[in-house]
Amino acid sequence: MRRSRTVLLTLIGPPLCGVLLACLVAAAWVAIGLLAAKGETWFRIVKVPPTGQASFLSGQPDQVQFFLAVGNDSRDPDGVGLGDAIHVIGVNPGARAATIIDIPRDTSVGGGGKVNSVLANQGLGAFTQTIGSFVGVPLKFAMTTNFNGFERMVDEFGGIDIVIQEPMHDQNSGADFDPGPQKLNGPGALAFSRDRYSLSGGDISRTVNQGYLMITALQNIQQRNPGAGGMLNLLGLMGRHVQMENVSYGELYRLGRLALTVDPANVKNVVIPTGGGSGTNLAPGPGIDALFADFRDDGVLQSH
Amino acid sequence: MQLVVVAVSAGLLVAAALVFLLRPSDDGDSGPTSRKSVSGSVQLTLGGIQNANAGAPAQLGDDAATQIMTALGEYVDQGLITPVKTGTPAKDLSGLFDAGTQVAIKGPDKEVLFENGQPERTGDFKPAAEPVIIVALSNDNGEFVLATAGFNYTAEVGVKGGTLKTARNIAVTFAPENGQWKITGYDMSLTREGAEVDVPTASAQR
Repeated sequence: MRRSRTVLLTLIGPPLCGVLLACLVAAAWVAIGLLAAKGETWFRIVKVPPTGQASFLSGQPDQVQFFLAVGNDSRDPDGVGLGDAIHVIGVNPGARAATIIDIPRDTSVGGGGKVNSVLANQGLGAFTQTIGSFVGVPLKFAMTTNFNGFERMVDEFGGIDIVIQEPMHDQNSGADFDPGPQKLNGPGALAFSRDRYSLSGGDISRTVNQGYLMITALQNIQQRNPGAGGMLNLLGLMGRHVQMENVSYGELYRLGRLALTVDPANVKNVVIPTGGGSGTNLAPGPGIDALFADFRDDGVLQSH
Repeated sequence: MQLVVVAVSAGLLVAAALVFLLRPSDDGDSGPTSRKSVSGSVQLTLGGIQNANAGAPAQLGDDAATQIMTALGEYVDQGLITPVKTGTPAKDLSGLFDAGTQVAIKGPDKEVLFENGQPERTGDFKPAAEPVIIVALSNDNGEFVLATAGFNYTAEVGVKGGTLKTARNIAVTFAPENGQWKITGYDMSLTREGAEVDVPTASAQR
């Protein structure tokens, strides 16, 4: 009896094991197939992160951007006058930093007269070329606004919250500010930008103040957090009151979005050194080449 | 006799494995056909258009607005709703986006921009979207060159262990490309709460 069992096991054991193995494989195959048909995976993710952020804009600049911002003295809403507020701006996207180089209006460039007259006499294109050659940077584009455009731009923006640094009381410009926090409307912002008589540094201090106002405006925009749609509204506002050259609104939008990522504390505001000149002209002063070289390489001042 | 025991045991194991693998889930879900309501859908509506004119006054045309709304609708339907319904990742929607965004939408942003079908839906699905506000910028010539479409999207979906609530604040920027308005940028924040949400030990924001 025992022997016959052994013979039976020997005969049917291997085939039976094979059948069982095949059954197991088939069962697994069927199960996988059914799961796949349900669109599921073996390693199902059951937890999802509670938050996420995605922000992207096609064509964002990754190279240093140099551009020119000029305030001109025309009282004609459609006119362009003397370039009295001259600022070369460099933005470094990688460093999320920027520099404003302030050029006093009386600066004599290339041994000629005051540079501000180039804008009135030859237009924004020639002025941009002159300033670009002077500083030694490729100015990608330029923009200018006059008295009326500047006032309306600030008013439509809703004013600028600023901290006045020193007493400013000047009948010529209309500035009448005590030190401390102020909200400047259009005429107030223009007066702040024009006042030189109540400042110890005269026109040099005024030029620095203009750069300070720009940094403060950037801070205001960031605090108001306009978002993508708000940025388009700002561009529309700007387009109505600023004359621009060599820039599309797409580029401006990208630059504007980039500017929103730059901490105002990482924006340096530096006036060029000037010396004596003929009449009221200001000759470029000692150290100007080093300043421009420091600015030129990456738009950020390392040693100034 | 031992052989019979072995054979029966193996058979039971196979049967048990099949029963385990093919069993309905705890809440009775046994596949898409037996899930609860899948009627969740969203009809995006245009809440308004703000024209930001850099030059002379101009209004965004109906054709452009329709194109933008159609693209948004496809994004919401195919990118956010269908994946939840089907439990599968969103289909390729790269055609809605311009060339410059292609790498970004397939990279880390993908998980924020699109649903991927996880966690698996086991219950009702209720998506909703607020009306879309479009801000459109026209240039000096009155041509529209950029537009953003902003809206909030929310969804509640039954998943294992309860309800998962998702909220997206969406701002999509469009630019015309060869006569078609394509997505050239986006800003999106995503928050989830409820079941199947990982409890963070640190900020998950990029």
